[in-house]
Formats: sequence, C-alpha cells, structure tokens
Amino acid sequence: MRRLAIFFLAAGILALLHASFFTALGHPLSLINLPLVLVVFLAVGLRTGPAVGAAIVSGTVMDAVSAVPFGTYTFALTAVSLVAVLSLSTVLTHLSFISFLGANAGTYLIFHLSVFLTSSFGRLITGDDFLPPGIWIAFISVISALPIQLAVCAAVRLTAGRFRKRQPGLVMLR
Amino acid sequence: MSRPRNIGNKTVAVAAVAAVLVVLHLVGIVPAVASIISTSLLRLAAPAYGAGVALEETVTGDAAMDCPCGAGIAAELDRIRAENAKLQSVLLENEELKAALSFREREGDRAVLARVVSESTDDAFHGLVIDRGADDGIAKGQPVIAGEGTMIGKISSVGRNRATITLLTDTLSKLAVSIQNGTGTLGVLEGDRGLSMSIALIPQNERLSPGDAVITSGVEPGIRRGLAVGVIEKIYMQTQDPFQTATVSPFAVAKHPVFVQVLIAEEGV
Repeated sequence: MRRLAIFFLAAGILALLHASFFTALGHPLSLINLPLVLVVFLAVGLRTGPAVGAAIVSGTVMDAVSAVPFGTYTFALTAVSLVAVLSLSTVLTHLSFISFLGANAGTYLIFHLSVFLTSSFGRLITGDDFLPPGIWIAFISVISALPIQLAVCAAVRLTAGRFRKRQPGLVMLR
Repeated sequence: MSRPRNIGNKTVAVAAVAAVLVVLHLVGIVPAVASIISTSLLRLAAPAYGAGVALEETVTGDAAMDCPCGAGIAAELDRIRAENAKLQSVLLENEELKAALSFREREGDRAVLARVVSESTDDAFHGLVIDRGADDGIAKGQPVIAGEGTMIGKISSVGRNRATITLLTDTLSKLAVSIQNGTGTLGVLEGDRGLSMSIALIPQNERLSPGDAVITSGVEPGIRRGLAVGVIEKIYMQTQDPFQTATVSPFAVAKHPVFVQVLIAEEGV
C-alpha cells in the first residue's frame, strides 16, 4: 500500500512538472513525457494495477492544468498503460533493454495519436475542421522529439537498474 | 464456486461506490472537493511554470557562455547559473508585476490579474492556461494583456477557476486591428501556426512601412481601441495584385508571460 502511494505521488508530481514546468522550456524539451516513462516503467514490471493507477492519477493532474479538454490525457495515458501491459506480457516478453525502449517508442506515438484524435473529434463536434492547420508541424515536432524521449527512457532504465539493488521493492524491473 | 462470489462482491462494491459518488455529486460535495483539488493543483503549477520560464531564459542567455575551463570552475559556474536562474525567476515575476500594476494605474480598467500555469505543447494549438476563471468574472472572448498593455490573445474557454487563452499567433486567431500609419488603416490580424501574425487584404493605395505600430481597432465587440498588438515587420505587394499583406511581429513581452491581465470590463462593450 505504501509502495502504491509512492508511485501515485510520483505520478502526480511528474504530471504537474510535465504540464507546467516543461511547457515553458520550448520544443523539444516540452514534449518529454515523464509520466509516460513512469507508466511504461511500471508496466515493465507487469503490474497492471500500479501502471493503470499511475496513468489515471497523472492523466487527471495533466488534464486539470493543461489547455486540452478534460479527460483527454487521462484517456490517452490509461489506454497507453493497457497497451504497454498487454504488449509486454504477450509480444515483448523477454523484457530486455531494447523491448523497454520499443515499448516506450510505441506508447509515445500512441499517446500523441490518441490526444490528436480526441482533440480532432472535439473540433469536429464544434464545427471546425478535423485536421488543424498546423498538423504537419505538430507531426514533425512529435517525431523529432522521440529520440530525446527515448534517451530519457534509457537514462531512467539504466539508473533504475543500479537503484534496484538498494530498493528492490520500489524498482520492479526484471 | 468462490470466484463468481468474489466477482459478485466486487461488482456490488463498485456499484456502491458509484452510487455514493452520485449522491455526493448531487449534494454538491464532489464539485466542491474537485474545485479545491483543482485550485490547489493550479497554485502548485503556477510557480513551476514561472521557474521553467526563468530557466529557459537563463539557458538561452547563457548558451554562448560555455567556457573551456577546468572541472572546478565549471562546477562553480553551474552553481552560479543555478542561483542566477532562481534570481531571474524572482526578477521576472517582479518586473511583470510592476508592468501589470503600471497598466492598471494608467488604464483604470477592471482587470483581473492571473498567473500563467501552463503553455500548450501541441503545435496545432497555441495557447496558455491561467489560474482564474468564471468565478473571477472571466468570460469567453475577453482580451488578455501582458506587460504594460500589450494584447497577447483572447479567452477561448473558461472553467470555474481556470481559463484558456488562444494566442494571437494561433492559426485560428483573428483580431480586428488598426495600423498607425497616419490613415489608421483597418484590417484583420490572423495568426500563422504560432510563428507569426499577418494582416492580409490591405488595399494597395494604403501606405505602410516596417515599424508601424498595430493596435486593436475597437471594431470588434468586447475589445476596445488602442491596445498594442505588435509592429509591422515586412510588407508583401505585387504591382498586379490589388491587395498587399503585412507580417506583424509581436512585442517581446508576449513571449512566455508569467502574469497576464484579463480585461473583464470590456465584456459586452
């Protein structure tokens, strides 16, 4: 229970930083998604509950602070957490460093696709165009930020590997 | 046999929790608690955003200052930079608050001072989130001011304790403006993918020059005349074309504001 509380607190703090502090730093740092790294990190331990819980907590915090319609990030992160758990338990089962990076890359793209689709359907309902005018710039921005996101994931994975010896209960990497 | 019973118990528990939440919502407890949590999150986010802006400005300013010095000096330099970032944050807030106060004293408008808590990271939408909302009298369409009277955008959506600003550089943004070129040429300022702003369809016979100030025209309901918007940067015209286009550069204060003011007195004007 204490471990779960630590995960959820970390998810909330990372989400708050992602939605406020990082947004001021400009591209590509503003597109680094730390809550997503945490969610995939938990999914790698194949702990569905903590992964989905962290996704809901961080999504709610991000929705409360960001400019997107409420629920957009919660939905995207929850969907991504389920995809991560499913893919890591059925396809990327060897849970290696590469599969960790692969899962992060895939979930990062799915996350942005989900946010884009939710916003686009919202625009469609309000009578605007499904595709916004800056869509290609947005697409290129996400793709160009992906290597940096993966570098952060790699750094987290390597750091966690060392930290695991001291706190095996908190770091659930295999 | 025990598994279906467990599933049944869980279903009953979830249904009971849902029922309690519905009752609490109807009584008004859930919205009140949600409002408190949301306000607390916005209060925490505002200084974090301010720190991000200060760090960004410090790093941008220090980018050319990397020295090929020893590890000790580099560490000391890093410590000074970190301290500088903290001081920059305080200085930035201080300067913006002074400018906001000066604007308030000069204009006498009923303005609501708000802190920026977040900036849109989506390249398809360029906007800001502020920590004031409908409870403070903010409504959709009201002009948002940074510094000593520079209009940076309009309120595009409002919650109880937060609001979203669509910046003038956003593609969906449109604003009726006047160019201070002697004849007060009128036009519609449009944003361009968050990168710049432009005024199209200006008749060829209107004389424009780079550096002409662009202000709000007062034609648009809810936004009075005279709020500074930017200056003309370039003019594009071809002899066979009946119209010319001007690109407008925003003032520096419009980039990463930490404090803004919403002119709530302008509503319904």
